[in-house]
Amino acid sequence: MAGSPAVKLDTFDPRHWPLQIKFPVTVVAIVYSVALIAGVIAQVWETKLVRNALENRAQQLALTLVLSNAESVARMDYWVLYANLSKQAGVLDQEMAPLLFGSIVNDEGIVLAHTHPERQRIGILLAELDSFEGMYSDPGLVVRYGTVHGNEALLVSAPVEYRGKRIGSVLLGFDTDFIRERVLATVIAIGAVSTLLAIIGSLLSWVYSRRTIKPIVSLTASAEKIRAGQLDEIAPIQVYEKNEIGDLVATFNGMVEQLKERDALNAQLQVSEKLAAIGRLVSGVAHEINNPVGGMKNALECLRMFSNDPKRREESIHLLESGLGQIEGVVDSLLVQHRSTETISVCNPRCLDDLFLLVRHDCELRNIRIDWRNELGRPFMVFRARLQQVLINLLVNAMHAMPEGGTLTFHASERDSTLAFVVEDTGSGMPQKQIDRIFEPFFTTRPNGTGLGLWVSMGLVHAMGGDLEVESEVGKGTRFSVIIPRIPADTERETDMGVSIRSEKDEPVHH
Amino acid sequence: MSAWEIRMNGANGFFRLAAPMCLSGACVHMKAYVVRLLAALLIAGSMIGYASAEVRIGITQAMFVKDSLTYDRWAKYLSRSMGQPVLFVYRKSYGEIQELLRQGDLHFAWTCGYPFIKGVQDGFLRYVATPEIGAEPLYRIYLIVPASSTARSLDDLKGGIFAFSDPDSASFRAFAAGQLSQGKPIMSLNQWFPIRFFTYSHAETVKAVADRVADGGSVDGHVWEAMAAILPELTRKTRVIARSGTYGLPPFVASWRADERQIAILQKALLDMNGDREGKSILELLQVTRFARHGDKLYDSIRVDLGSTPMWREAPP
Repeated sequence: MAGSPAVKLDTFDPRHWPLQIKFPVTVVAIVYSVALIAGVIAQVWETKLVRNALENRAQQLALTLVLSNAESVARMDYWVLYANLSKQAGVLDQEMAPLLFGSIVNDEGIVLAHTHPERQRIGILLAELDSFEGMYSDPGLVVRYGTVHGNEALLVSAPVEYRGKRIGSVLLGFDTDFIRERVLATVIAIGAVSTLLAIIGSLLSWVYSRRTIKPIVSLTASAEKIRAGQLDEIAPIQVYEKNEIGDLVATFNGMVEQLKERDALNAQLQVSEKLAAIGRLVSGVAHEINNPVGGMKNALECLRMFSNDPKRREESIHLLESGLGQIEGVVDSLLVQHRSTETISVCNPRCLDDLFLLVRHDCELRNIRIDWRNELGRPFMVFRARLQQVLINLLVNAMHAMPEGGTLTFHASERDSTLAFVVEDTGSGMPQKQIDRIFEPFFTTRPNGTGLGLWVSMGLVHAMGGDLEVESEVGKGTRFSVIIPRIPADTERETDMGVSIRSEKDEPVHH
Repeated sequence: MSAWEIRMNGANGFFRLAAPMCLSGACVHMKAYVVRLLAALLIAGSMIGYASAEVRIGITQAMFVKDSLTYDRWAKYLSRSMGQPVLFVYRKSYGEIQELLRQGDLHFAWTCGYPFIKGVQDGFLRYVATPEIGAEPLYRIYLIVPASSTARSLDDLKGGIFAFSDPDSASFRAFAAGQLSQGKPIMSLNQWFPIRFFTYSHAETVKAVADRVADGGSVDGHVWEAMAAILPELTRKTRVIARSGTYGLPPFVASWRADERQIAILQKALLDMNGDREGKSILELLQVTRFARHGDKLYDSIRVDLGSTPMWREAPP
C-alpha cells in the first residue's frame, strides 16, 4: 500500500501540478473571480442606490421644511424656524443621510435659522451661500452635487413662497463621504465572505481531492512495482468510493490478484518440471548402469563357478571390462560439459568434408542420397573436436531417421559474424510433443539409443557460445541448425571456457 | 373642545423638539382627522352631561409643566372638589388668554402677574390665589447668556440676538423696566436688539440660549432652577449674569364671568389641595408647594414697573 501521497510543486507550470493542489487553487480562483465581479457590480449598484436614496431623502426633507415653515419665514419667527429645523434634522436618520448643515434663509441669503447656531449666527449671510451659486436663484427645487468648504456634498435648494411670492429658501448640505465608506464596507464584506468561502471551499476540495486521488497514487505505486517485478509487495488498494475510480481500483486489484496466482502457478510448474527432469535423468542413469551391471553380475557368477577354466575366466573378465567400459561411457557422456578443456584451433573448411567420408558408407547401405554443400571459404577458429562431435551426432541421427532411405542434406555457410551448419533429413519428422523433449537426457525413440546424443550436443553448442535449433514437420523431415559465433582467426582472446587461444594461421593445417 | 386642546397642543411646547412629527403625508392627515373626530365625539358626549355647569380655566405653555396628563388629573381633581366639571383651556400666549378672559370665554386663568395687573386696571379680572414655591409666592427674573459668552451685563449684549418668553410676561416687562440693567429702562428695543424672538416658554428660552441661537434671554428664575435640577446638561450651557428683584408668582385670576361663589369654591379647592394625597401629588407634579391667598398687593412691584416702563407695542415681528 502506498503511503500518503506527497504534495510537491516542482514547477510553476500548472499542467505539472498535482490534482490535490489544482482542485483547491481552481476553487479559490473561481470564488475570487465571482467575488471580483460581485464586488464591481456591488460597488456600482450600491453607489447608485445610496445616491438615489440620499437624493430622495434630501428632497423630502427640503419639501417638508418648505411646507411647514412658509408662514414662519414670512413672520421671521426665528425660534419656530429653528425649532422646526432642528426637529427635522433630529428626525433625520443621520446614518442614511448625514446632514452637514441645514439653513432657512430670506430672499437675500440672510440666515433665519441654521442647524448649527453656534457657528452660524442668524441675521447674517449664510457662510455656505457660495456653494449654492446658481441654485439659489432657481425658481424650483434643485438637487446637485457640489463642494462645501472643499469637500464634496449633496446640495439642495428649495424656494419658500408665501402668498405667491418668493421670500426665502431652504438650503441643505449633505455629507457624501459616507457613500464611499458604505460602498467600501460592502466591498470589504463581499471580500471577507468570499475569503471565508474560498478557505472553506479549498479545504473541502483539498480533502475531497486527496480522498479521490489517494487510490490513483496507490495505483501508480503498485503499477511501478509490477514493472519492477515486485508483485509480492503489492497489497490490495483500499476502495473508498464506488465510482469510476473505485471501479478502476477494484479492477486493478483483481488483475494483481490474477497475476500473483499465475506467478505462483508458474513457479510450481517450474519446480515440478525440474523434479520430473531430474527424475528422468536419474532413472535413465540407473537404467543405463543397470544393464551392464546385470551382465557384470553374470560374468562374476561365471568367474566364480568356472575359476579354473582359463577360457571361461578370460571371457568373464572381458565381459566385466566391457560392462565397466559401458558405465564409464555413460558417466563420461554425463560429464562432457564439465570437462571441456579442449583448446580452440584454426580449422580449414575442408576438415568438415572428413565427416562426409564417415557417413558415406552407411548412407549407401541405407539407400540415402547425400546433398553435401560446404560453402565455407576460409579458415575459422573453432573447438574442432566439439564441433565434429556435434555434427556427427546430427548426421547419425539423420541417417537413423531415414530407415527407408531419403536425402541427407548438409549445408555449412557463414554470415557476417556467425557460422551456420544445417543437417536435414527427409524422414518421418516429429510431432511437437516429441520436439519439446528431444534435448532432455536419456530421451530416445530408438530401442538401443542412450538418449544422450542431443543433450550432449546441446551442451557442446552452448559451450561454444552458439545455439542449436530444430525444425520438424511430421511426414516431411527434420532440420537441425547449429549456429555458432565466428571468432576472427587473427586474434588471441580468452574464451568463455577459460582457454587461451593462439592464432595458427601460418601453420600447416593438420587433420 | 378645550380638554382636547390641552392634549393636542401639549406636544407643542418645550418637549416638541423630541416629538415625532411629519407634516407631509396623507396618512398623517387621515390619522389626525380620525383623532379629532373621536375627540370631538367624546367632548360632545361629556358636554351633554355637564352642560352649562363647566368651569373653564385658561393656561399657557409659559408654565414649566405642560404635561397634559397632569392637567387632566388636576381637572378631575378640581371637578370633584368643586362639584362642577372643570376644563383647562390651553393657549400659546398670555395675550390670547387675556383676550379670552376679557371676552368672558374663561371663568378663570392661571396667568402672569403683568396681564393680571393690566386686567385689574381694565376692570375685568379679580384675584383668586397664588402658588408658593418653597415658602414664598415670589420669583425673580434671570438674565442668562450662553456659558461660553463673555457678556457680564445686559450692556454687553446690546446689538446681539435676544430671546424672550412672552411679550406679555412680567419677565419681559421687568427687562423693559431696567430691572436687569441697573434700573435703566430700555427705551428702544429695536436699538438694543435688532434681532429678537419670543419662545412663549421659559424652558425654550433656556434652550435657545443654551443652543446659542440667542446671545441672551430673560427667564423665570424658578423655571431655570427647576431645569437645573432635572436637565442640568442643558442649564450648564447657560450662565446667569443678572437677577431681578422679586415678583409675585403667576396668580390664578377670575374673569368677570365668574361669580363670587365660584371664586370662593375654586379658592377653597386650590388652598385645600395640600390637604389630601391626590392634591399633594398634583402639586408636586406642578412643582408648587401650595396655593395661598396673598391678595393683589403681591403684584405691586409690577405696578411700579408699569409706571416706569415705556409701553412698547411689542408683538411678534
